[in-house]
Amino acid sequence: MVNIKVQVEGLSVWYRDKQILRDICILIPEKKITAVMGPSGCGKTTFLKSLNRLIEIHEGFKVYGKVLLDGKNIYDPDVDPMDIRARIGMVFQKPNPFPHLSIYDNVVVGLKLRGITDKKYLDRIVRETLEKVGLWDEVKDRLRSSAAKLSGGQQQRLCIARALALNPEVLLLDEPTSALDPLAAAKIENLLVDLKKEYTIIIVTHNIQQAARISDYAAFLYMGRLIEFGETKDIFTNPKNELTEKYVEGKIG
Amino acid sequence: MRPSLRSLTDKFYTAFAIFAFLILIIPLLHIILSIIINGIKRLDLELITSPPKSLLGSGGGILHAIVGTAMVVFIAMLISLPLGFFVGLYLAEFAKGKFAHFLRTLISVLAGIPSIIAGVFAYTVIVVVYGFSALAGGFALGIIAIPYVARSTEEALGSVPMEIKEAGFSLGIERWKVVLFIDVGYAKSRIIAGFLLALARVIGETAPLLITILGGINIPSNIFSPANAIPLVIYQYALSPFRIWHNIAWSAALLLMIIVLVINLGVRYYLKIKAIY
Amino acid sequence: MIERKILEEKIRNLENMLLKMYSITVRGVQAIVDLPSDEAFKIIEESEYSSDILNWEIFEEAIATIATQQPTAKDLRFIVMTTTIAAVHERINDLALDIAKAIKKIDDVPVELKSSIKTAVETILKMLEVTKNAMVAHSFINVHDKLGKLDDIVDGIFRDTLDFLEGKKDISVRTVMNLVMILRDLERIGDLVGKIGARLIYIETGKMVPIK
Repeated sequence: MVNIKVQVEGLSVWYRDKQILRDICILIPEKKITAVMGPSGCGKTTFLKSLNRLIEIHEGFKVYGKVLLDGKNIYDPDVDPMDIRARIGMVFQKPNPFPHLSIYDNVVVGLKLRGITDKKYLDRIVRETLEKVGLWDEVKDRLRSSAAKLSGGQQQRLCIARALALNPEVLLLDEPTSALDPLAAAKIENLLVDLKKEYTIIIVTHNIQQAARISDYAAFLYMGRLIEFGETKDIFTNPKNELTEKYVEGKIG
Repeated sequence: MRPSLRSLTDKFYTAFAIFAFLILIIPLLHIILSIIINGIKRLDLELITSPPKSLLGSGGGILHAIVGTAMVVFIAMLISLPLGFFVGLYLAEFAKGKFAHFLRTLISVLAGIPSIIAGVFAYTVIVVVYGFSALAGGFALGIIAIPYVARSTEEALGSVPMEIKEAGFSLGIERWKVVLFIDVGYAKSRIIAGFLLALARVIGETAPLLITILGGINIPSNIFSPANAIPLVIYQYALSPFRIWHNIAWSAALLLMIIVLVINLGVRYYLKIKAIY
Repeated sequence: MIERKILEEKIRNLENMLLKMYSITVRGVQAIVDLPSDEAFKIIEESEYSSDILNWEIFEEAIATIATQQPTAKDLRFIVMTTTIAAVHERINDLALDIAKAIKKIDDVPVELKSSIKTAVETILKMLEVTKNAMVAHSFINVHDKLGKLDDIVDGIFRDTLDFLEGKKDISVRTVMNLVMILRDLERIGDLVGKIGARLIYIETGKMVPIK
């Protein structure tokens, strides 16, 4: 029996007068990779940003329903969105390290701005997280140089390290490899498979093959609705829904 | 093949564009060349190291005006940088709706008023109380610089990509910290460039200085004493009947042009280095 | 080089399933020698049953692996061939059960044939071991020749049996038919193990080399 880490109940999201997500219900298992697939514009990214309340920094969005993290609704009024975002890390489509900061500072900027300044602790976190994402050996001699000088794949791994530095429980990834070359993308995929031992991973992708390769569970979103959710091997060998079947066969989307 | 009507019109407009360009560039080149030819004669060490010798004597320099300009511009930056920066920051990151619209209009109006008005304002507020002083001139130039600093800061912050802001928020950082440490850090070089261009913009102002710092030949001892400035020296010497003074005015103009050019090129070079990342 | 961790894990998993299949078959085939004891019959029945189930499990795993991991080249050959090898094993266990049932119907197997059956079974077990060793070691040197020679022995036993039975007048026709079927099935099993070998070679080399 797997533990449920994130439980989404009746999640609907509106952007102005347009409904982006319609009554999504989904149970995300702990320490597994859950892939959310769907064609462009199906609401995947909106769904992901609803899970750490990042959606709230954008104007015009309204969120209804519940997102339970370990059973507690993150949209409850007594919950601080800053804490939620620290507990649920996020990695974006385009590698977006802070180009004005050094590699070192990119990793610890979240900790520093959240008030942690103990140098020894920060040093340790930098080393641990960079080792975790397989970047330590590549950058250990130039931690003080700008993060903008890294390659695309390295930048994306740095962004993962930046999220991991806050020791989150859940890691959200929004098409993390779509801007990378195949080799760099494969490295990220391997990294995610390693990371699932410690973190609950939710990855949004329109790359069906990628979802198939690395995920344990897969969800198919279509026009704002959750069409099907289940174990990845079932979704890809014997989907229950006709739309899902057409999608994984590459006939829609 | 017979040239078509289209290629003829094409040629016509190209010729017209070149013609318009020449009309524009010839007077500009004329100004620049005159300044260089006439100014180069007295652009010597004495010009920038010694004050005027005597009212009618030959030789001497404009050290008093260089010191005055430095003082006035420094005061102007002291006033306009923090104010303009925070107004720009507010407009870029926090302002919404009617008030923001009002503030933007205000900034535009402020940028549009003749600089002499700023001088008159400084006159009534400071000169009347403390007398002619570098402070009054700096105050006037500061008012002129505020909208430039505010606009360039707003533009610089507006250029911060959404992904960078999102990355900041996704780390559980509060809004004001994201703005101050992520956004401003990201746009730092462009903000600084904006500061420098505002400086270059006000360094040549003459009109407001006429009625605030008075002029004269003394090196100002403090900000409350009357001062002179490079553009003011140009104005006063150019209107004088003395050939020697005319020559000094030309050289002062060349010096001012070089200062503005160095700032502009410096900013460009600085941004280019930053853009490599 | 980039590892494909999940795909590699799945392939290892399939390999293990195939080894399990191998031991099921060995257990069933070995029991033929102890027939007609009830215990031996039970073992063969069990082997037939569990090989059938494992066969389906291997199918499912192979299909899921192909669907999710997009294997190519040798990985793909391995996965597809795994399913056909599993099917061959399942078929071998079917034949073993047929043999068991046939032996039950015979009151008394002639001593000469008992030893023939024993030799055939032992040869088949040797063949199975050749395939297993080749799979584990990924080494296919001489596999083709070894299997061919061993299979010749099994075929020879079948021919000898026919000759032997032709001279016997004191055995009922029904018994003769059953005995022929038993030896015929053993000969079939030998052929099938040969096919496993050919498939293993195909996985490794991409070339089809029939073993006969």
